[in-house]
Amino acid sequence: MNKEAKRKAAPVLDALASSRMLESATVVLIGSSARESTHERSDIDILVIHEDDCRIRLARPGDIHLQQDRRSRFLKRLEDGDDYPGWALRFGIPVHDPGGWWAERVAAELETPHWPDWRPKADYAKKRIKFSGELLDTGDIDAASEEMMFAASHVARAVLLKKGQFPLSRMELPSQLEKIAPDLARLLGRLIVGDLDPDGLRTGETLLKRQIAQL
Amino acid sequence: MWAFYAYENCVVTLAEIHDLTWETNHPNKARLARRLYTDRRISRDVGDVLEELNQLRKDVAYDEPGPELEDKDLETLASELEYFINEIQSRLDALK
Repeated sequence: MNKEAKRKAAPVLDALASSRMLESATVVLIGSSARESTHERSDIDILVIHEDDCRIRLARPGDIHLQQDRRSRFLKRLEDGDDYPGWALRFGIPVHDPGGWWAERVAAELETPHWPDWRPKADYAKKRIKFSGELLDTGDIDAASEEMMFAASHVARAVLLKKGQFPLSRMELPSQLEKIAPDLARLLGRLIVGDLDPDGLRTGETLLKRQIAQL
Repeated sequence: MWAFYAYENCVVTLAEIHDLTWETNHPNKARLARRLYTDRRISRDVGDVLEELNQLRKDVAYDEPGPELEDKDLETLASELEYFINEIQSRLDALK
């Protein structure tokens, strides 16, 4: 197991141990921390997969974005074309894998990879664009910018998946997009830094809507 | 999402009232909320609420709502938020 990944996941491992769930839970470091491409606004993202009969009620430490799932649901999402389980299996760093369940899934994915469906990403993006516009109308520029960053990330992933490129972590998306969607790459880069003013956000909204229409 | 941003803006408003510096990142705003409570500038510590709502908001933004969202009592969330907003509003009114 990767020592640095284990250090980052330590609060989750401790919480699992005190809840007596450590013996059966799989713990995986995902997101930008797993890709070593963090930014000052990046979280530590941890995925915990529980056995199917386990009740998922683990308290979430404040500075870690913890997501929990059951084995069967995780695998169903993979089959259904959700990119999240596919990403975790490709790039996640296992921190705790009792019984080797995760290692088996990774091997199976290597042998028969699932390609995620890009279409749901466009729908998620539309929702975030709407919220971003509404937040902008209230004058909350920081919140509007953050919602638009989520929207742009969804659009970026849809564009890449449709072009046959597996999206990496958010910080890496602008470089992946540079050649195939340079305007979107620039917009996402600026949203990650968070330096767009209201006019820039309105222009970004138009660009994202156009990009979705072109998908 | 709306509840999260509303709580955050309440905390920032209170910080502004007391001339406290604040930073735009979410963990710092949760820490600021705790400090406002320990300094007796507000009747309730909303640091944990901010952290919880931030997690739920991100789950939804990534379109990965987990079981934690199902457990959230929205009526309690709305009424506690309303009470908190009213408390901040009364502080603002007192400045006038």
